[in-house]
Amino acid sequence: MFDAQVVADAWKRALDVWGLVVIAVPLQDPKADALAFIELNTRQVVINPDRIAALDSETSLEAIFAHELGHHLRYPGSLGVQARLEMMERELLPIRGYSLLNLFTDFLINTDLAREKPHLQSQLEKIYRGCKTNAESAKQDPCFCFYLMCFEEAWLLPKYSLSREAGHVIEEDFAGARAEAQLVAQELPNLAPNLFTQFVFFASVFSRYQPYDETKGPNAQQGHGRELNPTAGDHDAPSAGDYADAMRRSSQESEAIRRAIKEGWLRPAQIPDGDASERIRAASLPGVLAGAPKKLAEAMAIHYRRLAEKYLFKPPKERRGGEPLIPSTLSPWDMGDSPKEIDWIATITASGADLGLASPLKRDLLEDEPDDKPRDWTKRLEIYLDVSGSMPDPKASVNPMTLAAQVLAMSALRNGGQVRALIYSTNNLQHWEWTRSEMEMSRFLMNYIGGGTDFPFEVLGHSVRDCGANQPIRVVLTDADFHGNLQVAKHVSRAREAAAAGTFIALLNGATGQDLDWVKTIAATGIRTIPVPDMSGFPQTAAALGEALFGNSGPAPRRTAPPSAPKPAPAKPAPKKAKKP
Amino acid sequence: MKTPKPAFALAPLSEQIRLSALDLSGQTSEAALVGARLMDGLRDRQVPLPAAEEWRQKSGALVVDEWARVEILVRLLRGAEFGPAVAASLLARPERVLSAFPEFVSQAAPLLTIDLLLKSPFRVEEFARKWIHGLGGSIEGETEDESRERMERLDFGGVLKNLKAAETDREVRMKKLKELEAKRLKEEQEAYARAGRE
Repeated sequence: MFDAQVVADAWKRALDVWGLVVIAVPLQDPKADALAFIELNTRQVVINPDRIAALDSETSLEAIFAHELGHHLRYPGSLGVQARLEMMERELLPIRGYSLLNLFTDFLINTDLAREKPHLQSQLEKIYRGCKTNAESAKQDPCFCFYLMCFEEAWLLPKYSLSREAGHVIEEDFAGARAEAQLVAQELPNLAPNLFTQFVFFASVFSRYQPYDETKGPNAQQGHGRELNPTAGDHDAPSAGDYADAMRRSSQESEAIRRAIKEGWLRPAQIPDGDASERIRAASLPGVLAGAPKKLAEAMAIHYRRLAEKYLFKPPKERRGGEPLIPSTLSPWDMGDSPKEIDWIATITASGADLGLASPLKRDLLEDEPDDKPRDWTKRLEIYLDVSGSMPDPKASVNPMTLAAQVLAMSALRNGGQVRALIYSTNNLQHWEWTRSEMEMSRFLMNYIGGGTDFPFEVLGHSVRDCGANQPIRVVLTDADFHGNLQVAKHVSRAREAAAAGTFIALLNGATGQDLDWVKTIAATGIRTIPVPDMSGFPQTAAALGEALFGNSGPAPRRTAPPSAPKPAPAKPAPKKAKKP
Repeated sequence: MKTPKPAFALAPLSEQIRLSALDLSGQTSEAALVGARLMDGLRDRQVPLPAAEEWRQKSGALVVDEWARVEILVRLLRGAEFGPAVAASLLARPERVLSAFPEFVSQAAPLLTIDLLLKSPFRVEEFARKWIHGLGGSIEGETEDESRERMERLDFGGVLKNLKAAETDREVRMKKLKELEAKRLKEEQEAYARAGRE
C-alpha cells in the first residue's frame, strides 16, 4: 500500500495537470481488477497498489492519476460518448469480441499528457516498460504490442524501447507495421476535434492486429490474465440509458463515416448501415453475445418509450379561462371604461357621495375556476401483442407493432389507467399484474418469442370471467393469422364472449379495408376491427386509438409514491353489444 | 581542419516555421516579391547570389504554395535568431542557396504543404529537420546518427510508401479473419440448433 501522503501529493499534482481543484482522494484496493479505475459519474478513482508495484511504476503515480482524470475530462469524457464509440466499433469492426476502445482513449490521453506536461512522459514510459513484451506477448496480444510501437513513434523513442522483442515479431508478422505505427502517431492528433473520425481511423489501422483464435474466435483473447494493456478496463461502462441515447447516429458520427470512406480508411461495403437505419444500430447494442442481455432489453425499452413520446405529444391547447364572474378588488374607474362597471355602493362607502361621484370605483372580476374534474381511475387496458416469427425481434430493430403497444400502454397510463399485457406466438408470456409503471411495461414488451401464431383464447376466457363486471378494454395487435385462429368454434365463442363483455379491439396488420373477407369474419364476432394497411402505420393508429379511448396524453407524470388501487366499478346491468368504431 | 557544422536549436526553429505558416496561410505569396526578399537577405548576409539564369531555371516552375514555403525559409534567413547560422551554412557552400530554397520545397519536401504544416507538429519538425539537413547543419543536443534516424522516422513520403505493404497484408488478413469468423459462427449456430433438437 502507498503511504497516504504520497497518494495525496501525487493526486494534488495530477489535479494541477488538468487545472482541477477538489476531487476526492483516490482509494487503494489491492483486490481491484484494474491497475487504476475511475468511475466517470462520481469521479472516484481507485488504484491497485500491488499491480502498480508489479509494473515497477510506484514513481508513476502522478501520471496514473492524470491518466484516469483524462478519461473523465477528455476521452471519452462521458459515458454517452463511450456508448456511441462502442456502438460504432461494433458496427465497423469486422471481428467482434476484441475492443480497441480502451487502447484508443488511452493513446489520446497519454499523448496529450506527454505533449502538454512533458515530465509525465517518462512516468508513462515506465508503466509500459513494466509490461511483458516478449515473442509470446506478440502472439497473445499483437494489438497491444503494436500499440507500444505507436508510442515509440509518437514520442520519438528509440525503436523497440517499449515493444522490445515483441516489436521485432510484430514487424516480421505484419508487413508495414512500423510505417503504420508512424502513421497512427503522426496523423491521429490531426483528425481532432471529431473523436469519432479519430476512432474510425484508429480502428481501421488496428483492426489488422486483432488477436484471433481459430477455434474459439476473438473472445478467446479476452479476460483477465490475457489482456496485456495495463490500463485496460479503467473506467465504468455506459448505462442502458446511454445506449438508448446512442441509438441514432449523431452528425459527428455520420461525418466520421463519410470521411472514412472518402479517405479510403473504410470501404463503403464495410459500412453495414449506410442510411443509419435503426435495425443495424440496435444490433450494435451490447447483447447476449456480450453477456449483457438485460442491458440490451433495458436500452431498447428506453428507446421505445422515447419513440412512443413522439406519437403521444400534442401541442398544448390555447388556455381558455372561465367567465369573469367572481368579484375581487376595487380599482379606479377611468374615462373609456364601461359605466356598467362602476360599483356605486362601494364607491360611496369608500369615498363619500361627493368625492365618490368625482372618482368612482369599479369592481374587478376574476375568471371562474377552470374545469378540473378528477380523472377516471378505473380505465384498464389489456394488450395482446402478436410476436410470431413474422414480426421482427423488438430488441434487434424497431418493431412498429411493439411500439404501437407501447403507445397504447402509455396513453392509458398517462390518463390514470392501468395496463397489463400478454405477448404471444406459439406460446405466450404474460405480465398479468395490473401496473401503472411505463418502465415496467416497456421492459416487458421487449420480450420476443417467434414461431407460429396461436392467440391464447384460454387466457382471454379466464380474463373475461375473472374481471367480472369490471372488464378492461382489450386490444389485440395482430395480422391475418388471427383470422386463422378463429377457425375453431370454441375460439369463436371465446372471442364473442369477450366482445360482449367489454370493448375488444383488433388492430389488423395488412388489412386494407373493412370489406375484406377475413376482416369481416373477425368483426362478425363483435370485435371492433381497425385495419392497418402497412405495419409502419401502427404507432400512428395506436396514438389515435389511445386518444379516443383514454384522452390526450400529457408528458410523463412525476410520481413520488405509487397511486392507490382503483375502486371496482359498479356492476353493469347487462353487457351491451359492442359497436364498430 | 574540418569546419564545425552550424548548430540549430530544433524547438524554436520549428516554432518559427509554424508561426510563419500560420501567418502565410490564406495569403498569396508573390513569386517576384519572395525572390527579391531572398536576394536581399542573401546580400545582407554577404552570401553570393545565384546566377540569374540558374535561379530562373530552378524557381520558374514553383507554384503558389511552394513560394509560400520559400517565404517561410526567407524569414528564417532574414531573422536575427537563425539568420547567422543559415548564412554560415550558405557561405560554406554558396551553391546551397538553390538546394536549400527553391529545390528544397519542390524536391526535398514536396508533400509538406502549408496546410499540412498547420495540421501536424510532426510535419513541422520534419520540415525543420530536412531543411537543417539540406543546409548541412546539425541539431543541438543530438548526434548526427540520431538526427538522421529521427529524420527518417518522420519522413512522411517514406511512411506513405511503406504503407502499401501494410495495405496489401491487411486485405489478405482481414479476408481470412472474416472467413474464419463466419465459419466459427456457423458451427456455433449449428451446435445450438442441434442442442435444441435434442
